[in-house]
Amino acid sequence: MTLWQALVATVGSALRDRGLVIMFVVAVPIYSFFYPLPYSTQSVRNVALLVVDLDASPMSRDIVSRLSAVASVRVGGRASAIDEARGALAGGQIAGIVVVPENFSRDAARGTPTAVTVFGTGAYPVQDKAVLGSVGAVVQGVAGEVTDARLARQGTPAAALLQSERAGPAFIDQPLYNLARGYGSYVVAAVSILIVQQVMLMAIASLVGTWVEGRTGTLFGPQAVGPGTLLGTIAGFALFVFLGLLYFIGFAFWFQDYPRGGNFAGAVAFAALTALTVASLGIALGAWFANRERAFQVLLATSVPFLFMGGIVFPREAMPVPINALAMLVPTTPGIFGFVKLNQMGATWSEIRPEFLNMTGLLLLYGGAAWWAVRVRRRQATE
Amino acid sequence: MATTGLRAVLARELQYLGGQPWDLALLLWFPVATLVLLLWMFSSGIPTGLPIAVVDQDHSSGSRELVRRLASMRGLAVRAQPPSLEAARSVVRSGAVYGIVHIPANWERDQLRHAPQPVVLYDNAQFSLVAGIIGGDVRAAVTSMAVERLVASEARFGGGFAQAAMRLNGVQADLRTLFNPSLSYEAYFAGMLLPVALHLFCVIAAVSALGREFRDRSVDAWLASAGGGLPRALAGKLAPVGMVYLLLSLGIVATFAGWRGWAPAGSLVLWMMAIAVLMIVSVTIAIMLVGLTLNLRRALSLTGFYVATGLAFSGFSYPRAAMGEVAQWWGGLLPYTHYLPVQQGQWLGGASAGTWAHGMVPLLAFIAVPLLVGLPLLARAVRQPARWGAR
Repeated sequence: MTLWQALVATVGSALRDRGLVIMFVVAVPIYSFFYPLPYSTQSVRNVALLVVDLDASPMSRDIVSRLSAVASVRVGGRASAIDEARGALAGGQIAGIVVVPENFSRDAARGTPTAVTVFGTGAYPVQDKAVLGSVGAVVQGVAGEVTDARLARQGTPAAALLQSERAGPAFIDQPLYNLARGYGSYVVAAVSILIVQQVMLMAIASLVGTWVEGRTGTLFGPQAVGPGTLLGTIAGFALFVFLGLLYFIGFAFWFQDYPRGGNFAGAVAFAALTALTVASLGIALGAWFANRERAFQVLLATSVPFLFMGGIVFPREAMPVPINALAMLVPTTPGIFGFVKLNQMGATWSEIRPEFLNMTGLLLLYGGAAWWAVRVRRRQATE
Repeated sequence: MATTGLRAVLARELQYLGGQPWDLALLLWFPVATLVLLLWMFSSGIPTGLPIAVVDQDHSSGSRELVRRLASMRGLAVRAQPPSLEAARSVVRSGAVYGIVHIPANWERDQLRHAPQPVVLYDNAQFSLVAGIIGGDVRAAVTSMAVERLVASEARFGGGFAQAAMRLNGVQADLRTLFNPSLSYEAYFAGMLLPVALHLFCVIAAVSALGREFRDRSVDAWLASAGGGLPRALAGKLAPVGMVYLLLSLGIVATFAGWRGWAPAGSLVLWMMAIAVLMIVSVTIAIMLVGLTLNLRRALSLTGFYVATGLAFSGFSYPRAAMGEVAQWWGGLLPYTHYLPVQQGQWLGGASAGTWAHGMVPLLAFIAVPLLVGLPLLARAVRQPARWGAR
């Protein structure tokens, strides 16, 4: 079988398998709409706070009304004591407690140190940061006004106050990429690559496993299998992976308005390399599993470890060295990093050198593994 | 030993597992290895030494002091000091650093003139968690210097530095994190991912055990060994899966509460009961998925769609209250969404038994409803050999 014949036969076999054609063709688009659903709102909003207002002054009511103007939180009610609110925080019904202490406005006017206390819950860190950050900003706004009033009373000239009011902040935190700080923009950019890999690995390994069972397909039929046959089969499967990746970087990111298109040509080239790697790994796994269903059984549960090993959610610097080494064997590790750098950060080809080398190494490794696994299985079949 | 009945089904199942290393590995070794991997992955707890670049265009004693303070922050490591922002951006794009701190020219001079320029942190929000840690630490370093200068300037009103600091801090925001106050990512990620991984493994194992009989057209042999009754056949078949995962789930609790020393703030027993129920739920969901499909491969595909994506909808990171309506609704249909607040309440929060009981009601519904759907479908399918063997 020539390379071209093997490619055509592989594509045909994938499209004719009535169970797996869904995986090869429509699973990626379905997941591209399904998975980003939770994150489509992009930033934390509406998490509920309980207010314990022990001061009951105009100033404390002012703080509460400013809180209700913040999008990320919502004043979900009032409690008369901290203990009353604590149970709701522990049970997860609310996200935070804001406590305005007794005599707050009197102390603020006098200059006696006082504080609005905010309790978040470390059981949900993303929510905790949103609560502490937004309530902290509101309290700081109030504190600034109190300080200005006191300075004016102490005789600071109005012009100087105005100048300090107009002075910019001492510190600005500005994102270079993912400019809206969208939570979805961060998660979906990474997970989309994982979705393509996992769906395609399952589909390819399952189809190759079916070939082994039925002694058919380009690799396990009666005909001789040379390097051309294997390369054609890899290319045939890689076509589906490539289209899945292009669907995300060319359509889904645009349609759902996630950051995209930084280095489009580079991303397309990297997608071709990634597709060949994933296809080779899928063939190697399929020949090893030698079974139609096993790929699903084995790979379904690997998505979560693969995502976290990728180093986007939890940084590589914080992971043990052996885990980082193991992670380099998974195509999503260079894949997610490489695609985020190309699509979202606009990296040049030389700036993704580590990912390119890692992925190329994996292509050689899994191409060799596929060749070896196919030969071992064929020998077993003839024995 | 009885030739038919519960023990016979159990014996048949165990004999099968003994002869099939793949199935035994999927039932036991693969999940155990994954749990160990996940636990090890987050063992450092809190990321430290995250690399950043500093572009110091001021070259003043003040800017050098700021660089020293940045380098002393636990979360940061000053990895590069490129001469320009353009050069620094390339270092970010190459992935060597996560952000750039820019100290503009004449920064210190303009501060002394009371027309301060800001220090700008350009972080990379594609790495959300890292950007949060770096943002907090850089802000702390910059404000520590700004506050010292403010206190010195305030001190001219008299009363010395101590009183000046007190006056400046007249009204403060006291930000506190209860329950896991250090924001240990080990407790956070491992605490949430280990139970959900085990839940997924349990569904896969139970779907595999049950779906196999339909794939291999061995339903009649399976029922015959049980003496005919479907409930008894299911009990014997799924008992090994159930027992293994009950033990593994309690192993997770023992690992967290015992070995790692994270004593539960609430009740250890209530926590163990909740995770045990999650495992039983996993088995009943498997019965439903196989009943709906009668096809091992399709039941596994549905497992991927329904269970494996569940984490995203559960509110483990992005809060459910912030999601759109459809996502909230779908999340409500997933058992892990309901398990999570029960676990966090008993383990970290110290929630009351009443809160626990309230949270357990939907979880128990996930035992009943899948059985009500799955059992009638299976009962009909086991009498229709024509529908067996689909792949």
